[in-house]
Amino acid sequence: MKLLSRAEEIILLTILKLGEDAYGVAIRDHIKRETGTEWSFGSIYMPLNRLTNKGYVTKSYGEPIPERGGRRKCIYGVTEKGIAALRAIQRIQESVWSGIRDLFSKQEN
Amino acid sequence: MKNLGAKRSKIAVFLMKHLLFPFECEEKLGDCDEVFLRDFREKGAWRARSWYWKQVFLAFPAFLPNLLYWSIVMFKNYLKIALRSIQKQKLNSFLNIIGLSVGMACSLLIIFHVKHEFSYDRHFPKAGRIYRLIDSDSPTARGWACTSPVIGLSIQDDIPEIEQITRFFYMQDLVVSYIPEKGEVKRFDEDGGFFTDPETIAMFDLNFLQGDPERALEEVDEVIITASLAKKYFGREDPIGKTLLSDWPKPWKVTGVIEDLPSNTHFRFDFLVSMSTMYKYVNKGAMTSRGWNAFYTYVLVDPHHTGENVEARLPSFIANFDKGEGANKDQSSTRQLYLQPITDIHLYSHMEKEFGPNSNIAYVYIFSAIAFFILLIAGVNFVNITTAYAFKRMKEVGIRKVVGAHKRQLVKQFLGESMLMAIASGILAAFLFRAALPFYNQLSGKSMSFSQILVPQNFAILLAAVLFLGVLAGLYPAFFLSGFKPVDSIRGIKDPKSFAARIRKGLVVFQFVISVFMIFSTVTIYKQMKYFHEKDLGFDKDQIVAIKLYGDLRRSFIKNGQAIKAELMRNSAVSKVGAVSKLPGERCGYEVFRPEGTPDDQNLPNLRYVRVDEDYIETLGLTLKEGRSFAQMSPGKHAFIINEAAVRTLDLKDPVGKKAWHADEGRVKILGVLKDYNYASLHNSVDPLVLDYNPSAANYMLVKIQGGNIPEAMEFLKAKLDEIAPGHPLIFTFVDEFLNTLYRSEEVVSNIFKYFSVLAILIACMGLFGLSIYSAELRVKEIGVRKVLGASIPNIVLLLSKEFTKWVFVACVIALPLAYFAMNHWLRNFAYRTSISIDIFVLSALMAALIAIFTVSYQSVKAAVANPGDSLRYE
Repeated sequence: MKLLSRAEEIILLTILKLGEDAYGVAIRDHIKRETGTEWSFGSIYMPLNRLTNKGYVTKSYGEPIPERGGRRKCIYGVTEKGIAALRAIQRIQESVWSGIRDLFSKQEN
Repeated sequence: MKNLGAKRSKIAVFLMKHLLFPFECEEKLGDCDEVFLRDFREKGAWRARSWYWKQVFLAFPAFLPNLLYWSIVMFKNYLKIALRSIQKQKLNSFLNIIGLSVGMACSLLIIFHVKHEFSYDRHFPKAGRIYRLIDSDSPTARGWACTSPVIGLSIQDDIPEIEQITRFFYMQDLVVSYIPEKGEVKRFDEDGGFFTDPETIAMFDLNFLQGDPERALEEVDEVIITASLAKKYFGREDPIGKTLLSDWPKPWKVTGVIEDLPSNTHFRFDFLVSMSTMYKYVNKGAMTSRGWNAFYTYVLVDPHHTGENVEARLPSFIANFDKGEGANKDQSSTRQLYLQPITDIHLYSHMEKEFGPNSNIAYVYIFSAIAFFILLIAGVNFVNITTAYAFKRMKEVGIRKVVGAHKRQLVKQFLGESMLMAIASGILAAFLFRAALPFYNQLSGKSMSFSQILVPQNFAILLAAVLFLGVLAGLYPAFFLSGFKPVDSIRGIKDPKSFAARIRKGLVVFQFVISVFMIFSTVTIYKQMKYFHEKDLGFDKDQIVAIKLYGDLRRSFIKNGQAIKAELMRNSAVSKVGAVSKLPGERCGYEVFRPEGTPDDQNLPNLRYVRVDEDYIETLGLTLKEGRSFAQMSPGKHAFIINEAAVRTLDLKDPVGKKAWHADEGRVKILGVLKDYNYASLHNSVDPLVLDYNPSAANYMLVKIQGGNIPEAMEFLKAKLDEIAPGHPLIFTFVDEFLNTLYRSEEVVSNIFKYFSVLAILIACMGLFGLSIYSAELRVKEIGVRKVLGASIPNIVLLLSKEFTKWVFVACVIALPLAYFAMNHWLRNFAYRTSISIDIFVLSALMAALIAIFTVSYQSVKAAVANPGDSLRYE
């Protein structure tokens, strides 16, 4: 299984956190807040497309909303496969980071 | 929120919508709108709008790859469906592809023919700046391709815009021989010799294979020869420095070998001799004459000026020139000079003394029209068959629409299908073209080779033809098919009275209009050609051999003409022998003819002259109207016999016995008046002619053969003439055959019309055949019911054929007047012409009707004899 990229990982985690409210604008706003940097729609949609194609993410449509010019929201949800991928990346991250924390805290001291 | 649309730029929204793919629009446009609205409220209109525009530009980069990707995906599907539908309708596809490819092959042949016609003389690198100096004397309004020897020289002095001039002088046929140190003497008759100035080499950028282009033709008695002539005389030997012998006093030294000129040039020369040679041996009076129109003069205009600049100065030049010494006063007052671009000569120039017969722009247009119409007929077939069988694909269109196809996509799909057909036909057409080319060359007298045509530019033409045909044939069916309403198409409505059905009828009528037009034209042209061959010319052209007199043969004939003639007459197959300077059909030159008593200041037109001996009139079987013939004339004396046209033109009263003045021959007695005979082509009415008794000017010996055994008589002639001039190459032609060559361009038109109208009709019939199947299919049940109710087979056949016959009738009504008008116009080219009688109308209409009935009858009969049980079983 190919590892998730950082952007993919962040997006997947955001979708999980946002739950029912995980659609394009909300995802982007949330990530902007979390990271403090500008994210274009492109940099959200591209990984989202990839994730959808890989089967990590499902799409479903909500009700039409006047604020969106009468268009429906496209709400994303994470699949089992997506969760598994997140677990894998978490595990790797932890094992890679293990020991580093001590090193960092020593330097801080 | 209602005014959301007003807040955003409409262009931006439009762009955004079209840059995104339909399946992503919902989400992305929605997201953009939402953010835009929020920004609009929080940050203001300007910020929001610029953000939206930014999104538009960000969408650009993904657009093209996406488009490409989806095009390929859909293309694969379209291709699959197209191949399936071609397979499903085998007969129709076959008819379509064959029709299209035959049509395209015909058009390609003609396109290349026309292209070849237009390519004449354009290959000279300086073609755009080279003009031929031409001359016209207005009393006869005749243009001359030649001008005098001095005019070119003085024009160069007087008009500085002219960079260079060069002249050509045609030497008549002559025997040229090469005598090698050892081995056989090579001796041939040559009719492609010219004297020319050395400037020719630079002006026409002659390509020297051997020899020095800088120095060639500078000296007296020098010759440059074409590669093919070099091969003929010298074989593998090196020609440079060798000498060629001719009738001219000194042998010519070969100083250069040039590449043969391509076939698409109006020049026809095999060797060029230095002009200084001519100055050396021809008397000075002739070479400084201002009235001797015998030199083709070409001028090269300075790159900074145009032909018009120079032409504007010609009237003042010629006025000055004609005041000079030795000018021909008769001519000068009315003479005008013009410049003719060399690229125009082949198609537009029909003057006295051309290099050879030129083509005609009118025929180029006619051929182009034929090519276009044949292509159109083939395209119409495709339109008709495709729209007729459209109902078979209604369901497919319906499903595609229901699933979400746009009309645009469907148009693209069906256009793609027609394009596929066109491409397949294009490939087939290329092969057909290749196969038909030798035959076409024979038909049109061209020499196009396939390897010449195989250049990238011509592939572009083929591609253009394919695209043109694909779009032309596919556009209407594509819009027609894609216009089906999903509901109707799934319900399966066939409407024979629909708009499309009316269009189909119109198109079939149109096809038959063209076909009837072509039949009518072909028949008329054929009739005119027959008229050319059969018209009574006023003399008996059959079984006359014309033997060219030149070299030794001519010398002996002029010395002992009487004895030779008597010798030949001893054979019973030879009934008469005469001699003449120009064959019937050859151009006779103009000379002065002033009947006695004409006032000095009266301008008289020059008359055509032909030199004959005492037996000419009898050999051709000409009829004397008044006076007596040249019989019992003694050699050395002159006498004239004029034709009726001359009497009319000069308004002579009782000319017989009077005298006329001729520049060289002085006062000459008019012995008689000859009934007009067609000594030139039938394009023109008979010009005034003077028969001048002057056996020593003979260029041909005419031998009238009697009895049927021509080969034996020819054997006898050859043997006898070989005794008179041993080893002399004998050149002969039959007068009737020679006369036929005058109608060469009409014959090409006739041939092309004949074959191409057959093809046009064939293609039209293929379409008709396809439609007849359709209409029988549509009425299968009706026919079944009619048969059950007691209709006979002839009844049914009539029923089915009636409609098509009606169309042909309508086509005839439209086409016949058009064709009559066009052909009448064409016939006006000829002074002597056949008439378009009622039988041509009846014949063309009948032929078209019979062909149409025959085509549809197969299907009608098949439908009529079918068992009604089969067709009604499932009702």
